[in-house]
Amino acid sequence: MARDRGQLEADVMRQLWDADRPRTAKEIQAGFGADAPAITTLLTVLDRLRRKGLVNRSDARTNITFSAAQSESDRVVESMLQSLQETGDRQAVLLRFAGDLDSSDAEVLRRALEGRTRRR
Amino acid sequence: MMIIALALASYALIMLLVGPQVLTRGGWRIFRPRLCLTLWYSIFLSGVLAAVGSGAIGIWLGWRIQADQPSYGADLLATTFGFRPTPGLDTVVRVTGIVLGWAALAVAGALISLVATRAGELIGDQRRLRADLDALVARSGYRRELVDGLPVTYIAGRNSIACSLGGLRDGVIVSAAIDLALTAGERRAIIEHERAHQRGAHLIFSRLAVLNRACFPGVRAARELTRATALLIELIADDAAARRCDRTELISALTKLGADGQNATLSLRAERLALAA
Repeated sequence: MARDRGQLEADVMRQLWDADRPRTAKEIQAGFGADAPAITTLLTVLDRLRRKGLVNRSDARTNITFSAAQSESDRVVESMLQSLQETGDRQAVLLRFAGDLDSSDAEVLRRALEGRTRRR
Repeated sequence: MMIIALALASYALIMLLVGPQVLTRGGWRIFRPRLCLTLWYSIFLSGVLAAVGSGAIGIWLGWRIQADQPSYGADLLATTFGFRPTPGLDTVVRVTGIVLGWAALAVAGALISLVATRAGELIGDQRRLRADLDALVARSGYRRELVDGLPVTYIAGRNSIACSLGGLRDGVIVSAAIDLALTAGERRAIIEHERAHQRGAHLIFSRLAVLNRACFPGVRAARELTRATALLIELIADDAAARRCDRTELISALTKLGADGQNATLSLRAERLALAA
């Protein structure tokens, strides 16, 4: 199955964040299993990620390795959001693109959109 | 004076009961979020002012009944409602006035103390969050750029997060998952959404709603105000972002981020923007 560019970049980053040591392009390719992209595609992706600041490339002439430039933040963010959820103040101190909306807000939106679509 | 106090108290009560009834009905509020939020807060703030005014007059009347003149209460009833002053009525009004005055003072004191405590907690949470986010950026930040004067910091992470602290000087934090999944135009749309939150001082509305709910935890109007604020500020920010950048980019960003089905409101927000075009 063909991945889009963003998906391939995200998959490469996942491997690098999970890795306990820097990886060569070959090792990253092997990490994809049967669905592996071509090594040239992978090198292009790694170069793009390096330019974005997400990946570090070793200076070696042979056996070049790649590593995540920064450790991932997910666990820290999750615990931060969780602690705000517990105090009930998240909505009042942090603005998130996804908003602090739940299924009943989705229902309000759905009903309004259905009403508007019916009228059209 | 008593008539004014009663009228203000009645207005506050009517707004408390009628506001949620009117403002939670119909789909208009989804397509006119700014108008709906303005109405919510006009009703809320005028209701609060009316209640404060009524309480202040109540305290003042109680104080005058107690301290000013012995027959002030009976005179007040006589001039307001046409009661004939009698010695028995004078005592009853005097005692009732004193009790009501002190009760109003006690309620006002309790509410001020509650609001001050919750506001203090919110400020503490905000300070902690700012320190946490600074540490997060130092640990996981990998790129920083200025988008039309707004600092945007990208942090390493596989979850899709875009957030800000709401102040005009605060920047926006965007996770790598969004950086990788979206095009530059779509990312810009998200950043404009966050900018709209900051420019619209949306966090102030959220804080007022949270403080109001803390004062009246069981009251439907307070619950509905919190819920309406959370939804309406997102829709207002969507509309503002759609005006500042390409609407299709924002629709596309919302659709992509909502594609995993974990947050149904994202795709519905995209649908609303497409319908409103």
